[in-house]
Amino acid sequence: MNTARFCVILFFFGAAFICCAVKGCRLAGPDREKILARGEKIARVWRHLPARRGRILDKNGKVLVWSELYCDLHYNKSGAYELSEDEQQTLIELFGKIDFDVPPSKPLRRHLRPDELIALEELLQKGAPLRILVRHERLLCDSDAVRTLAGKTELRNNVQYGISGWELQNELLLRGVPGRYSVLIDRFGNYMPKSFKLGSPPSDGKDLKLPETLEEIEQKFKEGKEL
Amino acid sequence: MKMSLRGTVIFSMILLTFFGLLTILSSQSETHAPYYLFLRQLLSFGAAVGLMFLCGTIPFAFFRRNGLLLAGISFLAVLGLPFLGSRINGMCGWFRYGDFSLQPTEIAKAFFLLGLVVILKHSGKESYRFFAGLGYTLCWIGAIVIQPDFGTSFIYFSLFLTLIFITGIRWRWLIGCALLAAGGAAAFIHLHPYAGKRLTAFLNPASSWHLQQLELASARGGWFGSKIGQALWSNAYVPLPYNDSAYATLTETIGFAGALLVLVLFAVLLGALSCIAMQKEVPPAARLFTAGCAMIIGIQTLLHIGVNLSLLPPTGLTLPLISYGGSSLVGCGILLGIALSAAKDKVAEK
Repeated sequence: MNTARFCVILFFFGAAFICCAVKGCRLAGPDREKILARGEKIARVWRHLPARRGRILDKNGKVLVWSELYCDLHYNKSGAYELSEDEQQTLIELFGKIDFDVPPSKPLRRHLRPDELIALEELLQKGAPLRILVRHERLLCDSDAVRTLAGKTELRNNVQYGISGWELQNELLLRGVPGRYSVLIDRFGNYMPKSFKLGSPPSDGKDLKLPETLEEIEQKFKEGKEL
Repeated sequence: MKMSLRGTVIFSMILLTFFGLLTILSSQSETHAPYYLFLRQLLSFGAAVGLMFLCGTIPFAFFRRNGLLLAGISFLAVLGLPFLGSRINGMCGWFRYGDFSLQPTEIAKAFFLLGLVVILKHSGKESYRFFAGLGYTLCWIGAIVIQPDFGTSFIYFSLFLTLIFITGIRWRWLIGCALLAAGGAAAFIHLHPYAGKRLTAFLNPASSWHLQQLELASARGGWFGSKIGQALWSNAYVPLPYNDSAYATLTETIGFAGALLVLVLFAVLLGALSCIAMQKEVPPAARLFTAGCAMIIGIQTLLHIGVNLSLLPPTGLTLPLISYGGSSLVGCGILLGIALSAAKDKVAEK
């Protein structure tokens, strides 16, 4: 064996190791911030945090229209993993019969109860392709007059907008300002753990107090008078 | 001193494998089964250490006598891959039986080297040894290229080139081999356009998604890394974080300081093997084998780390002793075991 030639190769190895160390040092030090900023651009997404829409009250303070927070279970089908048979079985045991072929825009299960949320925690921690999304739902008191006059709301980007009736007429007062949060998402659209950042908290909408009582509203509604 | 070199090889091998286990654990922390690959690798580690010590106890003379036979058996296994092997990621490089898979080209590295050493240390003419070695290497490469596995073929041919270089072969033959390698690479790129795309992506890193993710994973590690199990980027974006991108995952987990320690450990391992190879009292074949062992680990390590630091175009090579893969780990165990046997040969002679 030619020792001199062997030493030449070892010298090249040494030089290559030093090059690697220098590049590693640059990535950890001077170039780090620039590269991380590029990563944030790729992976960080900003989303709305829904503000609670203001209530509609009658003259006596009786609540006619209000919002409640609900949690829905969604199946992230764009992920790398599909629900395994074990995971599907766990969900069936929890919820009974369940349709796993729902379109991505629709939840697997609506209105999760607290005990169901606790039971789901284990599946979510194991990385099952599931996601719990919160949303506000508008509820009305049991009155035909209120149901007709209050109008409707529509959910856009997880924010409720009034589209008719009192809801539309008092939109600016009722809507509030949605908050913002950001998360890093992986290449399949899953949230990366420990990446949540709160941009701004939501500011709830203000309550609307009507100048009449519920009885007066119902009376005028029956008589067909304008309110 | 002699025993301490053997001890250094064993110590650095075991320590590097522990870093590998850590890498695999971090790369899987956000998956369905975070311990699955870790436990499999742990089993392979046991097998690799066992085989290393077993090979280390067998006299090197045995390996030298049976080198061509062992190489022939391994070659038949590699040759059988297109007919009996399974295709994974477009490459027909594994024999599969249920949950168990075996990549013969990884395990055969030690025996390919052994066969090459036997040929190059034959008492015939220099030209005979050179052409026999070249023909032997081309047969192996032909069997590997049809899988197709360009990265491993490159390792095998590089090993041949470095070995004939250090045996003192004539320069013109060396240059001829280098030209042959360049021609072969060009033909491969022509036949497999993905290889050409990797090369152009490397020349324009802004367009290479793969290289950008590797840089990002390394940069996220910073000086001292994220906590173990928080290699978020490797889990989320880096392709094959436990295998082809193991060094980037490792850097994200333990930072530059830890990754530098791994580089130093590789340097120590190569240094110990090189010291054994340069001791004059060691028989020539044993010296050449140990030098070849250092070359094969050194080349593959530098190629893998170079790719993971965006210094080289993606090759799909694993990092010896660190990356996930039982065949690769067991192959390294056999390789180092025979090198330990070669080092002990000297003790026996004395």
